Amino acid sequence: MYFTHTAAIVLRQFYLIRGSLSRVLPLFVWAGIDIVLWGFITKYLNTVTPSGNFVPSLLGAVLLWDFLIRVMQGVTMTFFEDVWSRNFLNIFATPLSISEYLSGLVLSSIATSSVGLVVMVVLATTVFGLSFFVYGLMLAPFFLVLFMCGIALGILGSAVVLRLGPPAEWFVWPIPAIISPFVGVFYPLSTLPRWMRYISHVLPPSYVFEGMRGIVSGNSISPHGLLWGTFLALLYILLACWFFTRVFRHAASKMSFSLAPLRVIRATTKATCRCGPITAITSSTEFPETRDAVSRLPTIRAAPSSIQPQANGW
Amino acid sequence: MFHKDRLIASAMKQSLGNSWVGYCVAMAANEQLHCKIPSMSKVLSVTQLCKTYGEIVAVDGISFDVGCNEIVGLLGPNGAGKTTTINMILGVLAPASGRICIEGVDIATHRSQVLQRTNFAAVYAPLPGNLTVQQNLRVFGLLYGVKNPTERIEALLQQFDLQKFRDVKCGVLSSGEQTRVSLAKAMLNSPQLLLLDEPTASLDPAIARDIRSKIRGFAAQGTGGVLWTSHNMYEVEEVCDRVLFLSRGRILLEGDPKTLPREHGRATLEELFISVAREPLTLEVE
Repeated sequence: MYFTHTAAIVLRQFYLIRGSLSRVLPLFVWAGIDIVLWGFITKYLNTVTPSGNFVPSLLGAVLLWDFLIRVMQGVTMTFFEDVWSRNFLNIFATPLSISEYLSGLVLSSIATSSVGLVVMVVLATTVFGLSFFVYGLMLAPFFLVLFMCGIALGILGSAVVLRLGPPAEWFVWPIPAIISPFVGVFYPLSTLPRWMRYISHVLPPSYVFEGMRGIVSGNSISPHGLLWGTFLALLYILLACWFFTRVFRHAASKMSFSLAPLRVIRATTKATCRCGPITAITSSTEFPETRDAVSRLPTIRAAPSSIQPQANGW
Repeated sequence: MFHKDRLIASAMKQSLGNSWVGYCVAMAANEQLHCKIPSMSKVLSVTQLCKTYGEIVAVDGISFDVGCNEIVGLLGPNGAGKTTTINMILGVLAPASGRICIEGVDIATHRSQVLQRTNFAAVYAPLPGNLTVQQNLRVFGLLYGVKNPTERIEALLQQFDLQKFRDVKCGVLSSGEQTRVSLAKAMLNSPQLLLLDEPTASLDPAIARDIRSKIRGFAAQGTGGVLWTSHNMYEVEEVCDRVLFLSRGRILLEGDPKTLPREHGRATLEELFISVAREPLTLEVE
């Protein structure tokens, strides 16, 4: 494994983020808005329930959950840059190995999620008075488990898009929202019906949020639960890497790297027939991948004739 | 000098140093013994390569070599299997069977090592349009493990007349400029094997001629070889030492592009190409 190969993926992401406000803002804006929104909700709840302090349990939970989402999106966004710029053929024809590529995604995610985390911590502590001393040393394993879980979900999402093509990114974005009811971000797992609790037990974040609520309420937390959560998160990373490798090999046997841009071209053609001129495609919401293609039209215009042989088969 | 002689010359130069006497002795010895080209002089060796998609046979057991200092043209109609073959050589498409060796090393078992010495440019694979020319070359320089990347990138920017586009995003360059950037990327690691899939397809005649001479220079100077696909028969005749005609996944013809048409009763390479595209079976019988 060569560090320079991994560094290339990180450098590419750095160049992209540095040169684009639309990539910089999402690193912290949504996380910041979440903290502000939930910060005021907790303040309000504190006023209507004088005996309770919702800041550490509710705002802390939002911060931790957002951290997981940022980590996952850090991985998937780095991967999607290759999807959107139709870069698979270029990048996978280099000496880069799958493990180096995935390491690059993870390192990029560490960098980008750190930005979001810093903004959330600053806002939560300075504006809403969240104190991390409440959680003590347990904060480190909490972040570790959520980080590992976010990495696993990010690699899984990337594999899904590699397998199903660019439109499948709409399967990836809702993954945290689908998981959140099961992991009990805002409520104890005992609130859930039995069948949902079975699912909760195999989701590592469940142990983090249960542990966090245990600490806040002054109860002792089970180290076994957190250890089990760490083990599960590690297992899921390995499984996600295995799945990505399987999908990669499948793509290599079916020429999917070359066909990925073709899918976009097909969508463009279809959209052109329906909508007419190029300006109509740009505003079309029916083909999100087409908008990406049109926004990069110079590269498509460059090679209309050469794409045709690919469309014909081999 | 025929391509084979050039190969032998290159190999002999390697084995006997650059002494002219040694080279002549070696050539004479080679003529007497009719020895085969040493395997080390082959940059690329493809053996019984097959690719199938279900029932469809895309590449049907082709075998060929590319030698040092040799430019081999891979010709054929659309759907003949050219791009599939190139993708398999690049390691992005797994063959159903067969073997691909670059400098004697099997890509199936030593992918990273082999791809370190290989590069490609294809008109359908432009570099990411959201990075500048220099940024793209830096990223790919790291991926290919280029030593002294700053100097190498400067040299390539100059060689391909890209200095003024250094900080311009690739996506806003014209197709010809993008092709030059792709070629600069393809030369980053001074590859032993250069794969070019229609490299001049979107270039005007003046720039295309310039690019052709650069690639000819690349093949002549180092010890690398080039596998080139093109639909421009004039270009193929001018550049390639040898051509392989591919049709329906099989190599139908192989030879010198200057003499091959006459050998098959056609006036030009273009006529021969059309015959291969329309009547491949006739040529197989011949």
